Amino acid sequence: MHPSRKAPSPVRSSPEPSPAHPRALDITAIQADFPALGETIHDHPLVYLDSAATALTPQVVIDAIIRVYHHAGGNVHRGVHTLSQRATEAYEAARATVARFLHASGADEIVFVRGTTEAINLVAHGWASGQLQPGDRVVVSELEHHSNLVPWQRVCRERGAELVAIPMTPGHTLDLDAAARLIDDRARIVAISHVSNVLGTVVPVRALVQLAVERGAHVVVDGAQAAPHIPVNVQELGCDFYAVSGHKLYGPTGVGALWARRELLDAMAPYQVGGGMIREVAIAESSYREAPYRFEAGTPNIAGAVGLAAAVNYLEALGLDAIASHEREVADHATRALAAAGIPGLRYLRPEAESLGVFSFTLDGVHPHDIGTVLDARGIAIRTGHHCAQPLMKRLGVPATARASLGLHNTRDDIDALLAGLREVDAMFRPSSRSSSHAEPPGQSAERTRS
Amino acid sequence: MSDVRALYQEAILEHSRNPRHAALPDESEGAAHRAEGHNPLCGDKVTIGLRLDGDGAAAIIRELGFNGVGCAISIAAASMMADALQGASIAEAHDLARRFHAMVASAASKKWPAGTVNAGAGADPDSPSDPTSLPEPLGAFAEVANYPMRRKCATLCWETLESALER
Repeated sequence: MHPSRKAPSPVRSSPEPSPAHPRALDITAIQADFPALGETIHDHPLVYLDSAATALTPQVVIDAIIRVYHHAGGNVHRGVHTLSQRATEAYEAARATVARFLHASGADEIVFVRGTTEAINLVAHGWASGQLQPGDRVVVSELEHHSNLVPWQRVCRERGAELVAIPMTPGHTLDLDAAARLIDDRARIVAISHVSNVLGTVVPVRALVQLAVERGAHVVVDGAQAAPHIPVNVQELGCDFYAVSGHKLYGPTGVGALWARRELLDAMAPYQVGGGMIREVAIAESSYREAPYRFEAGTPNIAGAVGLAAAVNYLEALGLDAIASHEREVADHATRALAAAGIPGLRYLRPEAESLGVFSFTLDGVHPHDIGTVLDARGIAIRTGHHCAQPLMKRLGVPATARASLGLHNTRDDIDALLAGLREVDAMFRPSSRSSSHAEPPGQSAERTRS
Repeated sequence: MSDVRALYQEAILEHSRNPRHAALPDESEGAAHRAEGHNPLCGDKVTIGLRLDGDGAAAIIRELGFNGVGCAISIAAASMMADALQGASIAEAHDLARRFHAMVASAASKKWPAGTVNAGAGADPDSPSDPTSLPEPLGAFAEVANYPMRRKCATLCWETLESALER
């Protein structure tokens, strides 16, 4: 076991406001913060239920980005003039903000990247490939997003390591008994999502960290779907790497962050090399800067990082506990509404474990894309398809789902609008759907072949 | 609501529920052509099979059938295409495919408010393909032109047909 590893620390309850009684959100005010919510879509007000794909952007974030281009539009990296100094300060302040948000030990544990996908690729390429020996094992899960699966496939192939996946239970959570068997002495890395982007399941990260620590394996967490919705404390989780995407955190696209333990960053090789991450350069060879700068080659997405920090500040001002509490209430309403919808053939893929506001469902005989198009005609935005999780789709036995997902601005009314839309879909596609049985789901497949 | 019902017309819904020619021709009975098409972004899949009489551009499509899994648009398109092309010549099939593509590709998108990003991008709205020039009920797909995200659903079977004809 690595000497610096320790078991995850127990949850502290913060003094006030307490997680049990967070300050309630003023949703009307919050909705006014998001200019996109003023949009009219096909003559309907926008009902945005696709935050799992990308979150809408509050005005304060847009303002922060514009301010960079107005007042701090220099480049980072040691310029001596004022605009460059402002840019550098803003960028490094953003780094410190993200560090605080994730409860890192210091700002130097935060690497700015393009998003979660790049963060995981950086860990796979820059750290894991130096660690993995032939015969080693990387453990992922059946419910991973492709971005926390495909990079591990590649590095395992390159290094002769074995990739195994923790199966999902019928209750849509991870099978911890199977995990205990799979995380064996060969396991070097466990890579898991904190929250499933398809099912909303909250993965028991700390339990998996415990299993990993016992075997001396390191844990990489895809936090893209967690950080916008629940408080994240990497010290309490006990993991080694944690990746987030700015655009899912109500920040801009094109920026994200990787948190990693300092000692691991120090041992990590850069993913990209060039200006900005070097110390000294000669024709024949170069020396690299220390972490985290070693992993930030080129001019970074300065405005993006500042926008991400503004989003984090926005969330922290509201309080992640308050956000989680509000979203839980709306999610509970959605769960009840979907169960009581009275739409025959509506199958909500409901987790039986703790889950957040992500709802995948199918409607017999109606392809998710048709559901999505009809809902869009009512101003309702959901996502349809495999959600970058083809192995999970296969495990669920469906080629695609329709997915509604909550952001902090959503309300019960939004859920009610979704259900009304689904009733219209049902009426449109299956006017004779009132009977309880169907010989074959119509419209979905034409697979008869003459013998 | 009239907007989306213009896309999901009764003809399209009916063909998606009860697709015609939804069976591949038996390959053992002579010259058979098959091709598979797939939209990886949405998961629509279709296999087109056909049997021809004769050679070259004047060859006649004796039988055209399909297997498919996908959205209502893709199934209905395959069904209506198969209906339209029974007994057609290869030349007629290519021509119909070209006109279908033109019909669903034409018309400037109505989706972008004037003055926003991308307003004005797209085909010339003054010269759309006339959907009445296509045999009914293929004209039902004219509205697809206003749903760029769904175009590939409608054209998948036509593109797959052209692959099958190349073999």
